[in-house]
Amino acid sequence: MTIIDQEEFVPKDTFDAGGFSSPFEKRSKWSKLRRIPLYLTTIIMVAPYYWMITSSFKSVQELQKVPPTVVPNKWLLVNYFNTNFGNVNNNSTDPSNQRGLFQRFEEVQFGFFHYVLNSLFIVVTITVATMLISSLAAYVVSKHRMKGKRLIYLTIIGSMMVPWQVGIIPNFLTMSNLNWLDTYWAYIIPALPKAFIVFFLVQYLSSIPDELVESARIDRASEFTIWWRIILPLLKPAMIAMMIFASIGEWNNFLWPMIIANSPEMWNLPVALSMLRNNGAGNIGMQGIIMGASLLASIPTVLLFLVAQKHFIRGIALSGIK
Amino acid sequence: MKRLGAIAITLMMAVGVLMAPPASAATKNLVVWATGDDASTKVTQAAAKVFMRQNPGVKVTVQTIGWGDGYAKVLAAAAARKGPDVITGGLSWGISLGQKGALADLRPLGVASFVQPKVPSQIYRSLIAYGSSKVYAVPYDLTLMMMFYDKTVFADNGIAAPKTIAEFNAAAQKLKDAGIQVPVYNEWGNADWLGWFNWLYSSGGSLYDAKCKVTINNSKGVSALNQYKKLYSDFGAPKPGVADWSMNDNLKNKKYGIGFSGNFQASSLYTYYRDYKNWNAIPVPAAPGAKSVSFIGGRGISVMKYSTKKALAAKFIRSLYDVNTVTAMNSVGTVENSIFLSPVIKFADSIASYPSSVLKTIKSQLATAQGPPNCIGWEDSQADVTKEIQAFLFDGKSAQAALDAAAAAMKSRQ
Amino acid sequence: MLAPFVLLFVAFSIYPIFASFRLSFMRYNAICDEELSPCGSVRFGNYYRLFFEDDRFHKALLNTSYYVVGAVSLTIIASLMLAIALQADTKSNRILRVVFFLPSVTSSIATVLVWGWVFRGDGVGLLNGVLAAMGISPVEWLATPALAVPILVLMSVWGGAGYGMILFLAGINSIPTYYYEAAMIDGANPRQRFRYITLPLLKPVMTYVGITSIIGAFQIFEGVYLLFPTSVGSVGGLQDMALMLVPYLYDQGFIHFRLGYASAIAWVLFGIIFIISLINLKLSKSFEDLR
Repeated sequence: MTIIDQEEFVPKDTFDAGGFSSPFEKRSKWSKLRRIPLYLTTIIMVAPYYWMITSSFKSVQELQKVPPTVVPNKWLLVNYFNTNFGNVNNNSTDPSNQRGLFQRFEEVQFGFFHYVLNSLFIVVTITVATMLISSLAAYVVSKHRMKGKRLIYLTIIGSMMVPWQVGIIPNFLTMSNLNWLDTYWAYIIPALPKAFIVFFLVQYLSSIPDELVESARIDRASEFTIWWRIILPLLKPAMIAMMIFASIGEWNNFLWPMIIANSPEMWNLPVALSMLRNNGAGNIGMQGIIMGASLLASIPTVLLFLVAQKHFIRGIALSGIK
Repeated sequence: MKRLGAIAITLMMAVGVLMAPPASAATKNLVVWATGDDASTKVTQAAAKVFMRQNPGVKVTVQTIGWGDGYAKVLAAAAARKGPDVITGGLSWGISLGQKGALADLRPLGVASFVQPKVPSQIYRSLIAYGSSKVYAVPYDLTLMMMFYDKTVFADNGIAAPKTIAEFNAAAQKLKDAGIQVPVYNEWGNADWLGWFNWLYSSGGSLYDAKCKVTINNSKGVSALNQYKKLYSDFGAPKPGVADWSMNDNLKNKKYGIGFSGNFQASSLYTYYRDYKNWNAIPVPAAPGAKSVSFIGGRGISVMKYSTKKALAAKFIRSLYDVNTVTAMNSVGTVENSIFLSPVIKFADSIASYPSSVLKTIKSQLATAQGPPNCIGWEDSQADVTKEIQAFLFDGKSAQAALDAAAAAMKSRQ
Repeated sequence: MLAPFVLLFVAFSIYPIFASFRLSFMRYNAICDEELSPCGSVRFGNYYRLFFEDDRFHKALLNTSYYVVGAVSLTIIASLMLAIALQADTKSNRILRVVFFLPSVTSSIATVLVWGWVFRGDGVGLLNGVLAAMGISPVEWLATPALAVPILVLMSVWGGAGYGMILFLAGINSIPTYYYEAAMIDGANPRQRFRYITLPLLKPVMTYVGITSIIGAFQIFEGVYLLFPTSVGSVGGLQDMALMLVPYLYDQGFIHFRLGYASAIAWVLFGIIFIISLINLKLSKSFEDLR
C-alpha cells in the first residue's frame, strides 16, 4: 500500500541521482588536471586494502622483503591453510612453517569460523530485535496522544549526546549481577535500546500523515495491526537503512565484547582478531595470517554496503539533513 | 521485508543451534584460565590430559586469556563469582588478587606445604605478600632473564663473554664499532621495569628492601638506571614498538649483537634452528663485587575463592609437580616452540631440546635470581614505575627525579 | 507498546549514567570484601586525584584534545573538499564515492591492524619499505611521541572523510539549483557562489557533522589499544604518547579494575562532550539568528 511516494521526502540519492549537474562543472582540460590530487588521494585510500589483500597471499619469506613486493611473487594460501604444518617429517625447525588461519583457534568448534558465526548470530539477533522494538516505540511516540510522551522523546534525543562509554561500568556490573558475563545475553540485551534509531524513525514517521492511522483506528484495527500492516510497510526504506546501520556497527563492535567475553567460545570476530594480533605481535610471520583474518572480517560489511548502498546512503543523508 | 525477516530468523535459529553448548556433567568439570598465548595454553592442556587420564570422569578445560587484560578478567570473574576454578597469571597476581579477596588460600588445600620444598625459595617467597602467611599462589613455571649472543660474532671481534658491567659496555662498544646495526637489544621488558630489573639488582640495588621499604631511588638505583640508559643512547637498542622482529633471527643474521631476553628465547632458538650451534646464553652482567642477579618471571597458579571444586583444583595443581606431567608438557612445548620450565629445577634436565651449556646457565642464574617483589602495591605500581623509567630514557627527565616519582607512586599504593 | 524499548532504554542507557555518577565518588572494585578490599565513598577524592594529581590523566586529556581538534577539523575539511570534487554525477565519481566511503563500513579492528603494519617501526613496515626504496633509513613511527597523535589523526581522517562526504553531498544536492542560476545571472564566479551560497546553506550539515565527529573522536579506542600497546598491564604506548580518555578509562576500569576511579573518568568525558555539544548548538543557533 504505497499511498505516498517515498521519493518525495527523501533527498536526491547521492549515488544514483540522475540529471543533477553541478554548477561548477566545466569540462575543460583545467578541470581534469584539478582532479589529479583527487586521484592521488584515491591511491592512499585504496593502498591499505591492497596491502591487506596481497599480504595475506604472500609467503612468510616474501613478507620480510625490504622493500616490500607490490605484487606477490606467488599467490599462496599458506596464511589461510598450511598443508605442510604438522607434517612429521618436517621436524618443525623452520619458523615459517606455522599454522594457517583456519588451523588456529583449535579450542573452539569450527576454529576461525566459530567467530564468523558468533558475530553473525549476534548481529542478526540484535538488528532484528532492535528494529522491532524501535519501530514500536517510534510509532507510539509519533502517532499516539499520550501523557509524558514529549518527555520520553526528549530524553531519547538527549541521550544521544551521552557517549555510551559513560555507562560502560554500570552496564558491566549489571551483566555481572545478572550472571550474564560471558554469555550472548551480555552482547544482545544492552545493545537493544538504540536512541538514534528511534529518533530517526520518529522523524521519518512525522512526514507520514496521521490520517492514515486515524482511518485505520476508525476501522477498529488493533494497534499491533496498525503497526504491522500500516506503519512497518511505510517505514520500510528507513528500516532498511537503519538495519544496515545497526548491523555494521555491531559487526565492528570491539570494546564491549572484549570486556564481557572471557572464554574463547564467546568472542566475536573483532576480539578474535585482536587476540590473534596479541599472540603474534612480535612475529613477522603472523602478519600474513592477521591480514587474512582482517580481510575475511571486512568482507561481510563491505558486501552488505555494496549490495544495499542505496538505502544506506539515503539513511545517512537523511540523518544529516533533518 | 518479510522475506528478509524470514531469512534473518532462519539464520538466527541455525546459528543458535550450532552454538548451543553441549550438555555436560558439570560437577567434575574443572575450568582453567591460562594467561599467555595459544602455544603456552597447549602446554597446559598437555598437563590437563595427563590429569584426565589419571582421574577418569574428570574434565579439565583450559582457556587462554591474554597478558594485557587477564588480571582484570580474573577480578571480573571474582566479582561475578562465575568463571574459572584455577587461574595462572603473573607472579605478582597472587598477592594482588588475593589481597582483593579473589583467591583461595592454598594452605588448607594442602598445596602450599606440598609445593614449598620442591621449588627455589626465592621464587616461592615472591608469591607470598610481605608480612602475610596466606598463600594465594604457587609457582607454575619460570622464565629467566639471560644474555644471548652468537659465538662467531663475539669471536670475530675478539670479545670474551662479559661478566661485569664494565666488560659488557666494552663488548657492546666493540660490536658497535664493528658495524653491528643493533649492538644491544632488550627483547623482554624493553624499556620497562622488568628490563631494568637485572641491572638494578646486579648493581646491588633493589626495588624494596627486605622490609618492603621503597629503595628504588637510592644511589644504586640511580647508577643502575644510568647504565640501563646506555643500551638506548649508546648501543642502539630499539625502543618498544619499533623492532619486533624475532631476536633469534637477528642474532643469527648478525643484525643484533647481544640480546637480553628470557629462556623462552633460548628454547625457540633451539627448536627453530636445531643445527645452529653458535648461539649461547650466559648470565646477566654484574657490578664489581655484586652478584649476577637475573629476573625470574613466569606464572603462578591459584584457585578462585568462589570455586566449588577446590579439592579437585588442588589435586590438579599438585599434579603439575610430577615428573610425568612435566615430561608430557615439555614434549608438547618443544613442538609448539614454547618450552615449559618447571619451577622444580631438576625437571629441566628432561627438556630434550636444551643444550647442556644453556641448562648450566639456567641453573646457575636460578641460584641467585630474584622474583618480583612481594610487597603490597607492587602489582599496581608497575605501570607508574615503567612510565618514569621511560621518561628518563627518552624524555630527558633526570634519573633521580624519575626514580623519586616512581618511589612516590610505589609508596602511595602501599 | 512503548514498554519494551523504554524498559531497556532506562535499564541500559539512563540508569547507567546515574549509576556511574554515584560510582565516581566511590572506591569500588566489585568484590567488596569487607576485610580485604572494602568499597565506600571517597567523596570528591577521585575527581581531586584526576584533576590535581594524576599525570597520566592530564596526558590523556591533552592527547585527546590535540586529537579531537586535528581529527575533526581535518575530517570536515577533507569531506567538504571531497563532496565538492565528487558532486557531479558521473560514473567515475560514483565509483570514487564508494571508494572513499569504504573505510566507514570496514571493520575498524581490521583497518587498525593494516595501519599497524603500514607504520611498523622496523624495515618491513610498508612506509619504511617505501622509504628504504628511496634510500631513507627507517623511522620509528609508533615509538616517536610527536608522531603518535598525527598518525591517529591521519587514520581518523582516512576512515571518516567518506562519511562526512556523503552528508555534505546530500546537503549540496538539497540546495535548490535556482539559487545558483540567479547568482550566475548576477555574474557571481564559482568561488563567490561557493562562498555565498553553498557554504552558508551547508551550515546545518556542518553543525551535524561537527557534533557527530567530535563525539566520535572523543571515543577513540581501537587505534590506541592496538597500535600503541605497552608492556603488561597498561595502554597508551611509550611514555603514554598515545594515551587518550577512553583507553585510560579502559586501563583504570578493566585492566586495574578501579571501577570508581574509571567512572570519574567517564563522567569527565561526558562533561566535556556535553559542554562542547551545547557550545556547538548555541554557536550554530546564534549564526542563524545573525542572518
